[in-house]
Amino acid sequence: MTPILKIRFSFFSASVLAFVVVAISLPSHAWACASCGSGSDDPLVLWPNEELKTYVGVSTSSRFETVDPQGKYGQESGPKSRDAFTFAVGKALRNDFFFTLTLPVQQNRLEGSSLRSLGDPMIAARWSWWMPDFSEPLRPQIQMMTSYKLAHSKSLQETTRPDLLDAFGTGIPELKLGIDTFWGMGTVKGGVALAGLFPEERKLGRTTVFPGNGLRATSTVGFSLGGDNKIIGGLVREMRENRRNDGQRVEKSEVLSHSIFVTLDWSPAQHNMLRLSLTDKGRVLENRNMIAASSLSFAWLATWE
Amino acid sequence: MVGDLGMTLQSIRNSKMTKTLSITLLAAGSTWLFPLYGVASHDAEKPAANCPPLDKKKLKEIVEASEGKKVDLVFFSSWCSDCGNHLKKLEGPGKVLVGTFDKQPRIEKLVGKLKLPNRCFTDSGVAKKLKVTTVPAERSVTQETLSLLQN
Repeated sequence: MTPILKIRFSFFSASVLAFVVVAISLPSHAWACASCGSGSDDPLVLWPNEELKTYVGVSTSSRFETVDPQGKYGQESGPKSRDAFTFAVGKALRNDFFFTLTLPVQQNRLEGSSLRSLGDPMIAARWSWWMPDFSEPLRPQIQMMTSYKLAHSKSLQETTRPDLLDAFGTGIPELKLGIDTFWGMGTVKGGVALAGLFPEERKLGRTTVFPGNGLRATSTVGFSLGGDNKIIGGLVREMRENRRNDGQRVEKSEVLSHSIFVTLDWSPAQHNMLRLSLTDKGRVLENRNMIAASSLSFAWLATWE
Repeated sequence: MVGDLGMTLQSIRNSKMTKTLSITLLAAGSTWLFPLYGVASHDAEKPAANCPPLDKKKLKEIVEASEGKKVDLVFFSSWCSDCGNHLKKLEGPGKVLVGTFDKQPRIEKLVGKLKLPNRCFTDSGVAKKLKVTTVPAERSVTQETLSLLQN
């Protein structure tokens, strides 16, 4: 680990510690955790009493490493760091149904150079099929979720630059359908979210590429820090079938990825939430055909009347 | 031909994707048992309270019929974990419960289960007029307050 990264992680640790101390000292109102089962999958989830909500977040990712089909870690690829500014807005149409629009702007940095571009915009919707109930703590919150990611950004496969500085997104449109289950009424919280990933095929140069359908399973465990303040940690397992180029199955191209994350939510004032998240992708369990990375994000969520 | 089909089936059976899909589908399926558990164990036996819709007209009637022409409203939702503690701390039947950001059957079932002596209503636009944006929340409503409410 380089000295810069050591400093970065000292900053991470200090941020987390400061966040926990402040969060514990501030009482607030306590609600069940809206869709915490999906962890950091969707940036914005609305409560039944919220009509309009915004998310403004900044994040930085670094420590990129490629993982080959055998699970061996290679040299760092791509930019040294990838920063992102994400804006999301959510609008409720009913108490139990809302949709969100997410717009990321990314900046890739590599030894003095940097490039900025709009990332992949995403439109998502959730329907609360089963709400929690404080008189029945075992009753979970169950939400049906769907999202569609537009492939605005350039693909990793499209780029001609070896350092991949101009790669900003997956480059492949993708539909997600899933179910999010969460038990959030108690001090100890937990949940499971499952989502099917259905990308579209896309012409990249002379080849039609289909990344393969996938499955993402997220399990979370959380702890209430008093009021609406909480800490949530989780594991994300993502699998994809073999990629297909021009309809031909590419051997040993199936993706297996594991990520862990920790999220701290602190509500300093009514209708306002500050969120700090740490994610480490591809560093735990078995991983194949993916890019490992570490990221830190900080966000402000606000509800508008 | 038959050999190819056999190999394909064998590869599907052996693939980790298939195993994970099976496990996750099983897990997903099991989550659907919880609602069934809820229906079987709770919905049937508890007598629901009667919590009719509360609009501005009904609120005016309640205020005019009350002693001192003043009513204390307690807004709550079944999905708000703090609301349970708030409702348990209510002293006496004086305050009027208003379930909001929620559905009437769920409000009625919950109030029936808690066996609270208070009168109960389901919000029908009153919360918004009284600028209730979070729960639990309390509002005292007088005739003067009513006259200030937006139409």
